[in-house]
Amino acid sequence: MIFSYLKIAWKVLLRRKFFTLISLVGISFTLMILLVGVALYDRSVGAYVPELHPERLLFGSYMQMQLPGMGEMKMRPSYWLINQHLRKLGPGVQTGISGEGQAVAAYVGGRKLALALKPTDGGFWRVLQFRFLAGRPYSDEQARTGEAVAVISARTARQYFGPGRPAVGQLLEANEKRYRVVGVVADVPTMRFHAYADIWAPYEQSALERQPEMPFGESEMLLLAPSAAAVPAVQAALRRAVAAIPMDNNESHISLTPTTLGESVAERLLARYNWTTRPVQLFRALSAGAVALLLLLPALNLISMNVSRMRERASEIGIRKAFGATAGMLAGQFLVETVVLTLLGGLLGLLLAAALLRALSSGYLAAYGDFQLSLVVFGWALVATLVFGLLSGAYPAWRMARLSAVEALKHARA
Amino acid sequence: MTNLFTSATDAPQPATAPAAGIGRAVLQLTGIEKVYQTRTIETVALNHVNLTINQGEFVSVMGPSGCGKSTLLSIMGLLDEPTSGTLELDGRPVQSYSDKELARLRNHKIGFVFQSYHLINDLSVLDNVELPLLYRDGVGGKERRQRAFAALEKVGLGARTGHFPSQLSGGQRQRVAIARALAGEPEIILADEPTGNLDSVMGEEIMDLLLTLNREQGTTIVMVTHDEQQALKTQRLIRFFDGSQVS
Ligand SMILES: Nc1ncnc2c1ncn2[C@@H]1O[C@H](COP(=O)(O)OP(=O)(O)OP(=O)(O)O)[C@@H](O)[C@H]1O
Ligand SMILES: [Mg+2]
Repeated sequence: MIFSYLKIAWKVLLRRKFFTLISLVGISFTLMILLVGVALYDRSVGAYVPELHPERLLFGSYMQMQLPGMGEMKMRPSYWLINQHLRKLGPGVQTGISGEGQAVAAYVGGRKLALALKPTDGGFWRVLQFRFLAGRPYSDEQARTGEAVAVISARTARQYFGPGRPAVGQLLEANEKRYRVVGVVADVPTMRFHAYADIWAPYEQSALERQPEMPFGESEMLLLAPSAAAVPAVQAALRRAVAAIPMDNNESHISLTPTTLGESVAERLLARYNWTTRPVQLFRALSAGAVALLLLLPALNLISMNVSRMRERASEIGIRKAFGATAGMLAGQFLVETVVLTLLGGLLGLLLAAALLRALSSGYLAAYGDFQLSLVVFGWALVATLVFGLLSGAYPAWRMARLSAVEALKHARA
Repeated sequence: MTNLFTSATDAPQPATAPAAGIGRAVLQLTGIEKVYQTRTIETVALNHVNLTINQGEFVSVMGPSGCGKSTLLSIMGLLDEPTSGTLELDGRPVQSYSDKELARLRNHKIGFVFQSYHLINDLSVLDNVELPLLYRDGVGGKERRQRAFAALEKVGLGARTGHFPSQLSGGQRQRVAIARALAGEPEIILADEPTGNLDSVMGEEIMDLLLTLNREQGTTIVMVTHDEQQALKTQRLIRFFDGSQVS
């Protein structure tokens, strides 16, 4: 019987091409957007190299600073402030400092390579776990003395030195400065903005940061707690250390609230637009709303399509009953029909999501993406769609199947 | 709504064709009443109908429009329930059958031809005709197709199997509806104006087909018609007026 239900379902879906098309588009697009969204989110905040332990990571990206007569300002800390005052946060805590990425140019045989250079200290390499394909990171000492050494990404090595050529020990010239390559690491996606660069090199202070005892600048603090459980203690220690920084003006006040990887992504996405002072909460609310809306859309679509189709359905039900179908057989048929439609839409959505992610990986936003499709999310979204389909299509049809044939036919005429 | 007539006892008409093995009662209606209740008006579609259809009989039903012929047929076809009264099928009250048994009876025993055809628009002609066999255990896809095709040949539509109902003329749709009723080879055929939309030649052919079925297979047939000529070819004519049988 299941086979003939499948055949009936197939025929009905083929025959009602418009309905089938709209339903498939609704289901598959929703699933695609959901899957791509989740993959992007996961790629931004999930546990991937070099942020292998996101639950232990903290970032001190911004300081709140209150100056008399100037209100509150949001500034990045300076290298000096972090290095001088915030290094000692308890046993087992790794600290690192990185600067704003800079666009630099390198030339290979007359061709320009646009590269991103991120200045870091030596601790940066202990906080983040880069995968070294060759060589090693530069040492604390090399970083402190500002030696002209660099770690480069695999892609940069390939483009600059040629595929398969050794890079470690070679010289790379970028913005008219020559770096000796000491290590090559696996590519990092652009979305991992705390870690991403093409070249990492020892910190060089900018003009702003070179002013003595300047608390703000263009740096970012990275922290790795010894365990996830120790994270609150590290946060508290950091806040205390910031509060203890002596200010030359007694009425000035600075604070620094470290963020987790997820929070920093939310902040990055929303805070720069000054929509809100609480970007993390807003981001969560927006995401929840988006997911609900995404699931609601195909549901409403299915419901309205099913309702408008009910009249035709009613006549079919009456006729089938007249020739010996039981309510149970009809229920089986609607069930199979809904399941087939949903699964087709789901499969299509999965393929679309895979294609879109592949396309994204080669674009700038998510370069080196290497995205993961979440099968768990896919499963739940499919179940949700199935439930809506059953509630809106199969259930009313089954109710009608319990009427007498003549009554069902009457509904068709009404 | 008042009724001018009360029920009459059924009086067998002189048969025009020899009764081939007419036997026990297959359908027995006793005091059948059907009242349609709408917001503004109450319509008595059937008023205390007593009627017996015997096995192997070919009965025609006539009467003016709106007198309750279709209502009578759908009650006999187990498609609708009477407001009161009892319908016995093979000597057993229909109320005593379970839903499943009723579905089985509709499937095996009865072939229904709707006045307004009622084909499934999303299915091809062949799929429509296969319908009664689809819900029958032990009939495979191949046999289903063969039997449906044979039924379509009988009504002269062997060349239209792949068409969809919307691509057919009214008369062709009517013949598909007849083929569907024949396909399951039921013991009883209930046909509501099966030739109403056919030209006289085609109507004649369908009438011959039904007469042959009745004569050779002993199929019991109840047919609603507006055609006196056709009615005269059947063994018994029942006349209805305003919900009641008058002859
Ligand atoms: N679903 C319904 N609701 C209300 N009244 C109905 C309904 N179906 C039929 N009737 C009424 O019952 C009466 C009998 O209808 P029925 O269809 O049985 O007539 P009929 O004899 O088949 O007529 P026709 O020759 O035109 O087909 C009519 O007065 C009709 O208006
Ligand atoms: Mg009628």
